[in-house]
Amino acid sequence: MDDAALKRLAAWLEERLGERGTIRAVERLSGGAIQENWGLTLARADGSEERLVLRRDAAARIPSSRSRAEEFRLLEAARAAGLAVAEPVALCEDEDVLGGPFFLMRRVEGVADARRLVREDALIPDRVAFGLALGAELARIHAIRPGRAGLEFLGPPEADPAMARIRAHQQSLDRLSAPQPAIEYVLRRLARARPRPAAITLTHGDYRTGNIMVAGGKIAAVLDWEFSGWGDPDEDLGWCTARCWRFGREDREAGGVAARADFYRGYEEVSGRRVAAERAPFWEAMAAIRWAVIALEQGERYRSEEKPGLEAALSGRMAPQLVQEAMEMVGAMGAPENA
Amino acid sequence: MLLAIARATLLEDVLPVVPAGQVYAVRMIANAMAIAARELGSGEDSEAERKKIAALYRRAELEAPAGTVEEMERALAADIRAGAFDAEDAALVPVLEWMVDGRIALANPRMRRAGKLAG
Repeated sequence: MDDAALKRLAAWLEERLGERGTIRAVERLSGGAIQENWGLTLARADGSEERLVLRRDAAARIPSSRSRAEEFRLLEAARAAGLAVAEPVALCEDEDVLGGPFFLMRRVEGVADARRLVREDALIPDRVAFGLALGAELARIHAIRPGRAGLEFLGPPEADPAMARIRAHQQSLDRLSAPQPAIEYVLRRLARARPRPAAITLTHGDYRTGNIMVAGGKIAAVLDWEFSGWGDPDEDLGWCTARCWRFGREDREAGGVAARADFYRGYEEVSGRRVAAERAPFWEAMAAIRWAVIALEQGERYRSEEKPGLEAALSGRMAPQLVQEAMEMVGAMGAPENA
Repeated sequence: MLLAIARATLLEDVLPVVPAGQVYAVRMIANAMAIAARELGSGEDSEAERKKIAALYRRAELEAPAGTVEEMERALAADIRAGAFDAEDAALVPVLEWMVDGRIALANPRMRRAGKLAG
């Protein structure tokens, strides 16, 4: 953010949140390739400080992700439902301020770094309790159902969320330059074996280690709601336990941080719904394919960017391993059913 | 080979003296050079792949696509999506696994599964 942008931001803050204080410090926080997060420190009139996070689109926006305005409304709904999320503070849709929409939320302190949470037991001293909490929090998200006031912008739910997901991946593949017969095969197998949705609920869409802020061994906040929507809750369960999100700790099947059994038990205790473990390979294979497609998209996008990044250019090279995992998983699902 | 020598120079002579903040970038560059070198040397595999894809089409009693390997892969991908190979799992899966293994061998050979090296 340059000085001119900071000045415009300060003026906007003064107008909208004048009583809250003035900007004392601004720092770039770690964040994804899709969103930029900035830490703002406000100085109140009485000399105390308030820490906020400003979230806005980065240059490389994935078309399927929700707008900042929608993510802000999701945070409001999640907060109202008593979920562990950062408190949303203000939304700015006036693009003249920072060149695009952004929102502010109260900063939650803790550690979200997946590699640290997987490795450092000091951050999660009781992994059984954490697994239970990880499941319980997801069950609370899934308690939000279509018709909830304030979430009308999510549109009507898909009748067949698994097929909708498969079609979206096929459309992504059609935009790539290199053909992907193995991914097509996995998607075909998944389409033929797809389960009826367990229910239709709010789904987070990216519920995994790395998007869970942890403090004192507990969940402080669930981050990154940009892929939320109505869907099959089993998809979130499968995303969280997929091999590609275990960060090297294959034995802790819930995101490398907890045991699958504890995660499921925590989920079942809050949701009252038994987790159908036999559906896990379906959604875990889908998870590997989703990640592979994103990696391929990033790997091809660098060719069209003004200043191609080497890291993005290399990301497509992760895809074949993910495809191999997905093929093993659909192999484990057994013989294909009829179409 | 030129790329291999360039990469060795980068890792042995340059890497030790770059500032800590640039070590990751240098390692990424070395990785990209290794991938590019493997990709340059992978030409022989494409003829084997053409034969495997053609055999799959013969088995399914379909007309094999013509053209480059990439064009054949594109046809195979479309036909899999359309369900033309639904009854051919036993023949199709080993070929796809072989193709995926070939891509892993280029991108990240350390991650290859043992026992999948046979063509």
